[in-house]
Amino acid sequence: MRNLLIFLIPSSSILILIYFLILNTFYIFFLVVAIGELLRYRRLLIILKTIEVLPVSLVKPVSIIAPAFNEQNSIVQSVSNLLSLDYPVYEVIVVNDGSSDETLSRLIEHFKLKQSSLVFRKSLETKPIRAIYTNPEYPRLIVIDKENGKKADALNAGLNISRYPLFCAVDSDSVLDRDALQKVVRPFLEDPEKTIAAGGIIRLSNGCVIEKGQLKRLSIPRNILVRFQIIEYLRAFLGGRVGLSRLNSLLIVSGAFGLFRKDIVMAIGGYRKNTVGEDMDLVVRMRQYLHENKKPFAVRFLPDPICWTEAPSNLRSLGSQRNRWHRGLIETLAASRKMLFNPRYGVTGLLALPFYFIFEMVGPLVELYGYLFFILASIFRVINYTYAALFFALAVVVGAMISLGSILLEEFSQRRYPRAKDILALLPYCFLENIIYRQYLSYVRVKAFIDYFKGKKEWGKIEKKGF
Amino acid sequence: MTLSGHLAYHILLGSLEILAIFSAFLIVFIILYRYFSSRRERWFEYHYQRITEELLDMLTNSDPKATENLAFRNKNYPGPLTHALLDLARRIKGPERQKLAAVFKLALEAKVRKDLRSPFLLRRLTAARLLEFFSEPPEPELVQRLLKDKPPVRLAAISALANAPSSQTIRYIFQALETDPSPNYQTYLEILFPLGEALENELRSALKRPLQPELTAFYIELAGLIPLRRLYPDLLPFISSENKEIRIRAARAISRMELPESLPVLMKLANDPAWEVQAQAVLGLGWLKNPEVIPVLSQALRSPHWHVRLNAKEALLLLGEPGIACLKKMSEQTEDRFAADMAKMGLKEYQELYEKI
Repeated sequence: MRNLLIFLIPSSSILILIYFLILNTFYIFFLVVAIGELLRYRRLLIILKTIEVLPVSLVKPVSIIAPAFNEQNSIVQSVSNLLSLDYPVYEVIVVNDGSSDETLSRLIEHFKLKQSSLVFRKSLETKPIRAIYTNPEYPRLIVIDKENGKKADALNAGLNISRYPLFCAVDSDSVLDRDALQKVVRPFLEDPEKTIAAGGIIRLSNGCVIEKGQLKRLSIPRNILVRFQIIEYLRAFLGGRVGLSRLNSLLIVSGAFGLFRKDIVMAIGGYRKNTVGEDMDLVVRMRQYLHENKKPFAVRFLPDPICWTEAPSNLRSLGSQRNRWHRGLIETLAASRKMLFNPRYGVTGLLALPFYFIFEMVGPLVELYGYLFFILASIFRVINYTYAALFFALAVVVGAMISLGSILLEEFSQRRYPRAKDILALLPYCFLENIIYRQYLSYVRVKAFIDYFKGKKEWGKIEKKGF
Repeated sequence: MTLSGHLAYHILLGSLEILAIFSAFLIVFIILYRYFSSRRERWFEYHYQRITEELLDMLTNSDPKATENLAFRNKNYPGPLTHALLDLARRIKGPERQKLAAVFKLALEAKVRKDLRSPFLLRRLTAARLLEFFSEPPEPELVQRLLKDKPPVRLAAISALANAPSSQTIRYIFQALETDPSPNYQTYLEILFPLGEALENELRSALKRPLQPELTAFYIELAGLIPLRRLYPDLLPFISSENKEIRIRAARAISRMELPESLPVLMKLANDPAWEVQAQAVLGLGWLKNPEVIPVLSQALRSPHWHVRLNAKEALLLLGEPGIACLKKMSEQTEDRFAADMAKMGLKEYQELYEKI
């Protein structure tokens, strides 16, 4: 064993080092692209404000589809929030996906809903619909009660009922900024032919005060786990997604808040059922369809429409959430393997999918291999501790630097945290997250591989306090 | 330690040092950036409020020296002064705007004319806005230059031109749209729509010009949205266009005009080969509120296309009693289940509305 390790050390070290270098080069590259893009975007916002482009009646109508499963604590607040958005023409379709709690009854009671005989086109197959509820006093609201079929099935049921050419998928435990819809629709107005999907930024509502469905006060929560996630979300959205969007390589428009062209989604048969990563799966299949039909397209990420959502505040819920996300990633990449490294699929086949495959999907395995290798080498005393410590310190500093860059992006673009002390409170976590948090997430994501091969399809339970 | 090992050690150590220094620099930069940008925001906000209040006082002051004094006092605060002037100019017209123009001329004009040649887009844009607000009538040479600038400046100039509509400024806007290599129709619509009937003559001649189909489609849409009813005869040739998009827009525009004489035209369009045109025309027939259209709507309720059926149901509801009677009849028949379902939905909507009243 000792000899094997001595034999493996040089090649493994070089492999891990190359992987580490390429991965971080990508992240730094995205960060640099994102800085340019966010500054350009900020200038665009000032320009738009300056030329006073006012909304008139010809905005594109939007159907908001909010699937809900056991959301009794937050459903009324969320639906009230959706009904109070600043947008001229839209409808809100809440799909109660066979909840076993009081989700439906609370909706019926609060909005005084009555059963309706609404006729719709069943273009997509879904689990049976039990009833449709409306109230003429809330003409924008439609509530569908259906048998449980998971999130994708609920979204398909909402698509069947929806009337408008664009639809916005929203998590029913999230809160949108009042102008979020207005902002996220802009690419569809500016480039209606090419834009097929657009997503806004997801930010964490833990520690914030939400009243009457609107965010009233923003501050950093005390929970350490949530603070790590705040950094992580800033890095993923302001760094990664802005950069990937600039390269037209975005494969994920978050399921919590994404706007899509309905005709394309219907053409590919709606959401694919039996997947736990329905958001990524949809975008990848839309891209595949358009590549195959040789039509130009764009998937856009916008840094200013904000959706607030509650992050898991304990390890079990966080692990469950990340396990599901990683299984979703593996499922989607496995389903779209024919596009991987295939020049026929342009930027999707040659850049976007390889990036997600090599760095997002395989990344945790490489990381875990590195840790195991370190432990074994330590046991058999074939390790150079100075190198190991230096390399680890370097990894921590690079990780922290990228996270610091994300905070800088937040300062350049949104500056949503009004108090300087909130930003100061986040700074140490840029370093700390690389020490235990990151390793825990790698473990969870490796476990997701095992669950995937075991055929696990469960969503996992995430404890949320609600608003 | 071997030579290569030694080298690798130094590379790792060097990288670590550089990156650690860079991270420390980032932390300091974030803190300083927050500090200075907050300070600058507070400074800007303070002077903006102060200047706005002074400008409002000046507007109600009859002393001719007040304008001059204000301009000289605030000459060294071009940023807040520019924004305060722009914000007030958007809301104030007439002689009061002349007072603002006087402040602009004394305090900012020389700088703004220089800014028009600035390499920075935002400066050119702001300069264009100020000059268009405060130099009336628009200077043709200036307009031509602005219309050749980058899209945001061009749009700002067009938007500003729309603030002072005249046959000449409207012609400039149409000219800008037709020579725009990649027009953003939504923005042009937002600029042109509020001009309403002032667009009639220019739009009439534009509809007669041979243009790109999307441009013609845009003009047809605009005529219907306002709606410019006197352009109805000019829209008629488009109902037999070979281009489906043009026919859709013609059907929509004619429908929106709600003219009784459009009845036979909409009836013809309700049988168009494209279902999108049919759907538009069917809804338009409902808006005419003429019971003669019931047979056509009843036929449309049996269309294989869901949208046509939906619009036929809407149109029948708009007709009132005769339409409701038709929906009842359709809901009772069993030959076409889809038509019956749609009719039932219409009746339910009617009942709910009735109960509410």
